[in-house]
Amino acid sequence: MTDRTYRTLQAFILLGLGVYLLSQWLSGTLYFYINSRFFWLVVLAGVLLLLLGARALPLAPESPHDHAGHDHEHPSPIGRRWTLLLVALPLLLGVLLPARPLQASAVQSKGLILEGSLISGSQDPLALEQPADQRTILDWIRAFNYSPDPQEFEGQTADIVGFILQDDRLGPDQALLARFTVTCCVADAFAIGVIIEGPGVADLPVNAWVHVRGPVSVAELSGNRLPRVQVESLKRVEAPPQPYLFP
Amino acid sequence: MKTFFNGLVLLALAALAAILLAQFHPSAARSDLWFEYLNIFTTIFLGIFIEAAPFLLLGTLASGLVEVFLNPAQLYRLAPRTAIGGALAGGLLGLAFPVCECGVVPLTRRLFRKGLPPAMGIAFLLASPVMNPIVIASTLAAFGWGPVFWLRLILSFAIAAAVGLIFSTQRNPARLFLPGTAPVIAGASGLTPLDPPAAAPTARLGAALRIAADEFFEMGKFLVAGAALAALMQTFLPQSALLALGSGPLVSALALMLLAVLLSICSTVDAFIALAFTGAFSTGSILAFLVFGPMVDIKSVLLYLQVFPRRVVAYLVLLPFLMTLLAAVFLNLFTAY
Repeated sequence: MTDRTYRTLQAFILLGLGVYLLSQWLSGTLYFYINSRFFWLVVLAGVLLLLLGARALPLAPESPHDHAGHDHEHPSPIGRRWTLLLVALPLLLGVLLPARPLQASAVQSKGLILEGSLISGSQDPLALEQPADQRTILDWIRAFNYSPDPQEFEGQTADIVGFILQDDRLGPDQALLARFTVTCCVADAFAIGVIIEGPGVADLPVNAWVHVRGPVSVAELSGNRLPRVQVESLKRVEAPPQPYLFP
Repeated sequence: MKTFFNGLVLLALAALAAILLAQFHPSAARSDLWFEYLNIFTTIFLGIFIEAAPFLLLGTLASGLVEVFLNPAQLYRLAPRTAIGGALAGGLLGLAFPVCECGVVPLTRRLFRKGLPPAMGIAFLLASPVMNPIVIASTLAAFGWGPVFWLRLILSFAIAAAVGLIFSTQRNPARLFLPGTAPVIAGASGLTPLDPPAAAPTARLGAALRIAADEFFEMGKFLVAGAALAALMQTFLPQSALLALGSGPLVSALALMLLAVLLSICSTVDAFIALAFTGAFSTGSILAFLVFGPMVDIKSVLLYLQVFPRRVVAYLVLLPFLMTLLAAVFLNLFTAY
């Protein structure tokens, strides 16, 4: 592979990655991969990649790659091929496979965490200040973990959206309403859930997204204190555009 | 290494074939468990890559600028003359040279050739992948102002300075390096700064961008390989299997150190990878991953072998290994973190 070919392919991969990152941001599918507080970094990287790619395009035929500024050794031709292929791999996978968030099928490998202390963080007090019907599943678990006496929530109305998980440890007429939480990117994702109870919920298909409303009480599952929602209304809904909860 | 990459690329091609198959025969393949696994793998793999790419990019840009605008000879004139001063200064030198573990090796070699004291060079080599602004920022982004953040910096600095001091006891520093003064480091960028009168600032900036693009590919392939391995493990290894490893104070630290070596993830992004293990592992073991990984992994050992004789590389691996393990086991046993 000549210097010129290598450089041209480099330029196209850089441009491609830049376009890919920016398009993920514009289409909102970036929510499937990372916590939204890092979106600005991805946008910055997209712009920088376009810049680097444009710069690497060997437009001038005479000296696309002068060695005045640096005297480095180029990798061997075979090394170059693998280098280009590997760096292009995210681009290939991202373009060929439709963007899809983690679903119930990933719970088995990513894990379901019921211990409130492992989930909660510095924002726990905030969860208490919110009106009850605006709390997410994550807020409810935080509020339960932070409060010295979760009985205080008894009777408050929860209004939550999540996907269905069935679990052997649950009683009859019970299911888990779950969400994935993502701190940085999906690599650190794990599922959390609250118990929902009502006729027929045990028959709901796994991974179905539902919107549940009803009064909260305190329940226990495998020694962990969990919110339990008595189902008053239950609606099947589409998966939300932002499928994860960001602690 | 080459066969490793061949295997990885074959795997990627197989994955692509599976995707295409699934696209054309949706009814046949979509119900397939393997398609489900492929989707999970792809989401995690892209997640790690998208999260890490900005940090890698910033690192390569900084490295390109350093290479073009900074003259190592000037830095040498400021170098301390005592071994202890050198080791301590070397541990902090990374704050001025924001390079991660791939970039630090050629930079250190260049500094050695300009007469940098061995203690300072070794300490710089081991500490700078952590003690630099970009890695400090990404560790902070991942872990916040907690014990992991501070202990990672303190332990990395202390271990690097200690190893630097140990090497300074060698009477004949020439024995520390390979006889060839200009060993070839595959894919590493050279460091000769342009002569000030020879190049206008815009030309230098252009050269810095070119070096950055080159480095993005040289390091990017290790990042992609690491992200793919990490995503594979996360797809097929249930959390419960990791939890089982995370139990003993010694075994859990050893497991994560081995993982750090195998994953060979650039130090600018390893904090995000480590975050995935926080549920299952103790803080001491997470720290072992974050302190040992930047000093020693598959790709850095490959680079070390281009600069040092094997005996010296063995010490460069063993000394940080023992010190990190000691610190991690101590933290696991005697602290509540």
